[in-house]
Amino acid sequence: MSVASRLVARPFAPALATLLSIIGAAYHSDVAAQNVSGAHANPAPNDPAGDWHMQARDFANTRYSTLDQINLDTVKRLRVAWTFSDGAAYGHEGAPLVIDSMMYVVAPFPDVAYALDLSKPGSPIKWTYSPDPSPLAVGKACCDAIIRGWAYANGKLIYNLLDDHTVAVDIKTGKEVWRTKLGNVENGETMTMSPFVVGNKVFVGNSGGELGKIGWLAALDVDTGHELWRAYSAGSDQLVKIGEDFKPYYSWMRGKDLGVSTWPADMWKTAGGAAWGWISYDPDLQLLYYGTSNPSPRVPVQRPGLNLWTSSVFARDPNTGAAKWAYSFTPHDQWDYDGVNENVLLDLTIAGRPRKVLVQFNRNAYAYTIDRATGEVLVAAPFAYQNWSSGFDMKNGRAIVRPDKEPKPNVKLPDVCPPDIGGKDWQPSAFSPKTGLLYAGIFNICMDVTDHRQSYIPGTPYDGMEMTRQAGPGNHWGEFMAWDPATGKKIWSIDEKFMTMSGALATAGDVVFYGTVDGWFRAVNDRTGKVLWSQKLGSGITAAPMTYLGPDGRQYVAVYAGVGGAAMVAKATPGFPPRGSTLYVFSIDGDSVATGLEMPTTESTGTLKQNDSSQTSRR
Amino acid sequence: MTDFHGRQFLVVFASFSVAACSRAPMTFMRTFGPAADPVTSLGWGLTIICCLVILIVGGLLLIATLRARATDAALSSVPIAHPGGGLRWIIVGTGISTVVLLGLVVWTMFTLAAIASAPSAPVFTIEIRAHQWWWEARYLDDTSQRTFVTANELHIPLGKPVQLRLIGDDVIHSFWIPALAGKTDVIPGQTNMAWIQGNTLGTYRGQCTEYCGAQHAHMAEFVTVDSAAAFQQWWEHQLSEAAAPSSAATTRGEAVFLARCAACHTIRGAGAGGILGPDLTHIMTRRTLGAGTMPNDPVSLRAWVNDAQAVKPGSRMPTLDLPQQDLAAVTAYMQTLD
Amino acid sequence: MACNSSVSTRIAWGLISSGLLLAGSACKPHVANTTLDTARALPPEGQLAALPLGEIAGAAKLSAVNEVPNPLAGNAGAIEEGHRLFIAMNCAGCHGYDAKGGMGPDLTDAYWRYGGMPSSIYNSIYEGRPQGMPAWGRALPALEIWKLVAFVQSLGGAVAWNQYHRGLQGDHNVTSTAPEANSLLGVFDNPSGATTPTAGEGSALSAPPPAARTP
Repeated sequence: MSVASRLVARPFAPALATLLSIIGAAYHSDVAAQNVSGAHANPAPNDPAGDWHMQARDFANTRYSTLDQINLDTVKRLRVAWTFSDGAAYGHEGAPLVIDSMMYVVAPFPDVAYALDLSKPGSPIKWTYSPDPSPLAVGKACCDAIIRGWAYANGKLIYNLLDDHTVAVDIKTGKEVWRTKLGNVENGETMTMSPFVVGNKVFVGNSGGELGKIGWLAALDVDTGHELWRAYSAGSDQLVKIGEDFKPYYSWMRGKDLGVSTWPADMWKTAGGAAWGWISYDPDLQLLYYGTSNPSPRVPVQRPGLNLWTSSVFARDPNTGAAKWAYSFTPHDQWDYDGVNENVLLDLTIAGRPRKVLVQFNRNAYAYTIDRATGEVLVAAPFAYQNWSSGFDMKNGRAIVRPDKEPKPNVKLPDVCPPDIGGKDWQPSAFSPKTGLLYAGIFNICMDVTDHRQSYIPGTPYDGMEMTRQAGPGNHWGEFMAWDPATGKKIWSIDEKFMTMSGALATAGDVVFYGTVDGWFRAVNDRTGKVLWSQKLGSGITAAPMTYLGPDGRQYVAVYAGVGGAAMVAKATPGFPPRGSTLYVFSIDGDSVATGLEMPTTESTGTLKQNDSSQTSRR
Repeated sequence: MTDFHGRQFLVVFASFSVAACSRAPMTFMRTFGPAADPVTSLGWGLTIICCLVILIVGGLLLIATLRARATDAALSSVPIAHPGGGLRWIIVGTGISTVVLLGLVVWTMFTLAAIASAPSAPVFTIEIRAHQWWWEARYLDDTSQRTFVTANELHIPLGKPVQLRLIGDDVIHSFWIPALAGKTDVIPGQTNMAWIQGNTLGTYRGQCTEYCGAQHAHMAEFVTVDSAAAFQQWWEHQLSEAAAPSSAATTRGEAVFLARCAACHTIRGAGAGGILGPDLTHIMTRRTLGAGTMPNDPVSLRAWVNDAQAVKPGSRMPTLDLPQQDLAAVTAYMQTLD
Repeated sequence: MACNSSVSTRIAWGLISSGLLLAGSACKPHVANTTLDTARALPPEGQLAALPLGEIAGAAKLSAVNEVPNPLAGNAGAIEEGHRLFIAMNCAGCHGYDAKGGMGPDLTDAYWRYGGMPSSIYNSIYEGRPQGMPAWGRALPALEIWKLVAFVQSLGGAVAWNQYHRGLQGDHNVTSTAPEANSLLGVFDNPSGATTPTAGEGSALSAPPPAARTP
């Protein structure tokens, strides 16, 4: 190059570079602007995009699928491709798993498992497994004889029976591999939650916070079912597995044996704090996150004290169960505000600092964004109408209780919001990394409550809350919303006359799915909240939808329609649907493996002539 | 004349006080704590003043009637006349009465102020819930782990004020320990606060003092004032769980208890969690059964457990009609519950 | 004299009125007759324990052995105490404070899986039932269980104590009955016409049923 040309070229280079960087920045900022909150999630364990190996899709509990055949343009063409009815009348709350062109579902009590072959037309049953659980469990389950999900690990389908056994079934043959007994159903303990698998361990927890059962989370070996450790939700530090590594962020949770000293004499033994909800896992921090239920009895005057560790979230080491930190959402809970809802693990920036957080839409109507390494509350904002607290003390990490909303025995306390089932119950939310938003079905319900002091009689409810529930302000029972976890703001919401108690499903097709308790299954534009498609199903929807890629390369969306569980609190509402047991599978135009296939042939004896007019006239 | 009467009264009062200690445990004429002492002084003061008034007025009346009778015959022959000077008597009498009454009013006000609240901050609170026909007491502490429930018989430390929170469950009752504190009603739907303090060691009996149903008469309570050390020991003991049964009979007794009694009664440590009836974890530390109906001895215990309706008819404890062996076993077990 | 006589009159009136007051305060309060009197009238446990849960096999002309009345039915005091027990024994926790069901079934409707007559309800409480209803027979004496039965009966869905067959047959709110529906033997085995069973034909469990009418 000549000196002259170099002289000419030199000023262009930085200009060109600047121009390119401006264009690049514009492009990146355009993409970044699409993610409203700036939040991202770890897709570990990176299961195949077309499968659905765990209830929550991934360890972070995003319930997000990268499939996008069903998108803003095609979603209006969704039609029923095939259905499957398992015939069990109780509430259906779990989502099917799809592994290698096979679908696995478990019906509610009596917990029969089915394997459906997706490669064949009509997805026929390949095997059935009937575990024969004890009928006694039906009368000990507080909230219907349901099953909230099932898990897959090492060629085994693993799930909990209502009567306190965990079973593992070989997914190829449907034969039982192991069955572990974890509790005693006569005492009022049941198991309803979906097991959660990390590596070679499966984590299971109990139900029974309404019957005075002390809560626990246990780790079982995936291949043998042997219990490796069990951590309780109350009792001495040894029982709760609180040791040297335990560092709660707030001072009011530091001290020795708080699981005993925050209860009247001996009442920790009937503490509640059951671990009946969802579990998430951070593979980098190597911490398991799960919540504990309400304290027992549900009458607060019988148990003065903070009642730790109920209505809390725990971070535990999955190998030993040792607690790393804990945070109580509602210490000395007086309204049945459990802490068991899903903890969605996100990475985002708050106040200029990048943070690893968990987000929980708690029963107490606050949406928490908590630093998942330390337990510090970063954001606490109400996502549903609430009047039990007058605000949130960020310094101490506690909501401020309104004294006039504290129930006293035998006195009717009207208009407490949210009710016992909360601003949101266990129905799980979904996260879209494209929008950076969380999507959840929430409640708009209030209650009138009268407390009755109760005796502890093993095997019977240790409860005491007499309630009537009614719709909150605006008179609608449900709402489906999009939430920004960085700012704690609702971006858009859809009011629903009936409760929205289904899980949410987020997809890369920019469409999120949810269902209502009166049976409407809807697809919504995840950015604007516009309802793009609705289909009325045979019963109310209280299950989580999921999506998968069939062996035919088509994307399907599947959801159970079988109302039950806590949705039954509204059963007196006119129009409330009866029970159901059908799995609906949708695809674009209803096409499936069966499309275009030859139908069975008809044999004719030849007595009928073609175009026989006498036949037509008789009609 | 007045002196002779005064001495007589003093003798009567003295003998009355002695009797009060020994054969009349519910006497309020002699009290042992600052929640009641000012009232007792006022009571005695009022009594003495009233007696003096009776004496003085009675004496004057006597003089007046005797004097009138003496001059009756003389007046019958003359027209009606007003002997003068009576107004001075009225003015003097009214004046003295007014001063005395004003003085009593002031004294009453001071008494009310003295008993309205404890002289120092109460050391702890007992939440008392009145049922038909027994008293439930929950001892509260800043550490909830040290909170426990007992029934009918309270202990308080010597010389320290204790706050009482009175909660009604069914009908109106009234809490009254004559030797220690005045009556405070226990009203459903309303929480009343009272306080109590014992300045002399001993056990004082109280009684429900608002008619509350068929067994109102058998709703006693006992307050024992302990030294600081003894009280602390009592509290720790009450916190402890019931001892596990060690013999075959008491093991069977525990099983009978759990099957037949646990739905209504609590025994901490044994797995019995009923709250309809009194907490029995340390039943043997109580001196009576049925809130003062019977002494706590083995014979009475058997009678109570088997057929409480015969002993305290109308009470909430049903007739059990246990088989003999079960009855022997469960009473043997209960007798280990110190 | 005049003053003295008025004084004595006044004293007399004082005595009379205080006497009246004393007499008035000696009035005994009304005690609900749920404890002592009716305890003697309770059905014997053995009789209740012998009642079958299902219908008697070969139902032809067999007496309604389950027809045992609740001695406390309709007794206001018993119903109120039964309601108190319903809450205190945690029944309300499963069946709802309004008894309309939840974990356990609705007790106000006319559907009774295990029978809706007082004796059936008594046995369900006493013995427990397979899907989680605990057996209360040891924790609650018979009188207390009958109080609970009285409360359940007061809710309106129970079957009358002497309607054994009607209860089994689901006959509530029947406005007309086909003549063929009354026979227990089957229409064609009983040519003499419809048979309506009556109560109190003797215990069918210990004695053989009376001979059927021959055609």
